Amino acid sequence: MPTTATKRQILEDAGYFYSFDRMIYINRDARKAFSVEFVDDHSEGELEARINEPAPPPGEWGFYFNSGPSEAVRRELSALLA
Amino acid sequence: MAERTVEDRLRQEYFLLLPEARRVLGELETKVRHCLLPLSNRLNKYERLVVTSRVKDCESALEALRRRQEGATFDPERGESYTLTSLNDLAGVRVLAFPKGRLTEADATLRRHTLFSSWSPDPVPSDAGEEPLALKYHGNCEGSSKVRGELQIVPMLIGLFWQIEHSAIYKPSPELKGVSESLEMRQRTSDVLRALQAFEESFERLVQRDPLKKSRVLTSRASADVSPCLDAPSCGIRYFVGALRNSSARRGRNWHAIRSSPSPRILEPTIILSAP
Repeated sequence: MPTTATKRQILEDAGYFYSFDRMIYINRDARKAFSVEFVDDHSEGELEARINEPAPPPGEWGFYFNSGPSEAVRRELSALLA
Repeated sequence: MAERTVEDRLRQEYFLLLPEARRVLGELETKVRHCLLPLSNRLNKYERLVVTSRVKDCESALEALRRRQEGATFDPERGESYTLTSLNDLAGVRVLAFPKGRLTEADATLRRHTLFSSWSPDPVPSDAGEEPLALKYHGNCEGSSKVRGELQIVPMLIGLFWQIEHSAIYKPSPELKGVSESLEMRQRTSDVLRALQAFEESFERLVQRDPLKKSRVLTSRASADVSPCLDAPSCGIRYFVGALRNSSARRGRNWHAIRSSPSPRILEPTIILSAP
């Protein structure tokens, strides 16, 4: 539970909000999305490192999933998040 | 013509599977109730063993499958690979037990049954990482080779909390289920469940340690022996158990007469056993 609380704090401090429909944490300014599974399976350090990575090119989103989303899923999520 | 969405294909699959899911549920519930009957009849007055069952409704099933995908999104390019038969709980029976000692007994009783002895255990872990929150098994019944059944054995207070949470929030809006997976809600839920566990443990401990327990706790259903009803052909009741052994049932009075008896000792087991 402390890990959960810490990860939540890391995400909140970095401006991420939870989208319950897609179960992802998103930051529209950074154009990054983290799946719940990814957050669960990676340490706080790794999470922070990914948050601090440079933002993807303009118009694109960075999806941090355990198994990278297919092109079709990327398209659908990008359209939803735009 | 527009291509069918993954969701629409799954809706069609749901209604094709529904008769099988109902058969599985009927078989599962009957077997669970049958197995637990002797234990139910031994319960002390403050103890509970409640069996509930349901077939997951269509939209909840779809939502559950969607949430299983990372990003809760179906990939339209592999639409054919999704199937509701991958859900373990299309047909599910839940046993709510109170206190914990009875849960352990119920679990042991059910696990001895041929059907459940081969089912896969899938306990619900607690966030604290200690013993599981609830016990869960899944497997196949005779009623279907496609639809799996799920059996849950859950501490009463936790089960009731899940029930309230489900009927107040998720039943009317299955799409909100994703809220419970957020880190924040998982933490809150964990707090509630831990409090309920602690409540139950303290309650059980106090009851167990009460030095006057034996004289105070009622054990009116002390025996689980089954006796045939002497009037079965006319009253439709085939068996009596426990307290009724010494009642007028043994002397030939029929069920209807017993049912109107003012004695709670007679009324209670009569009602339990009156199911045909």
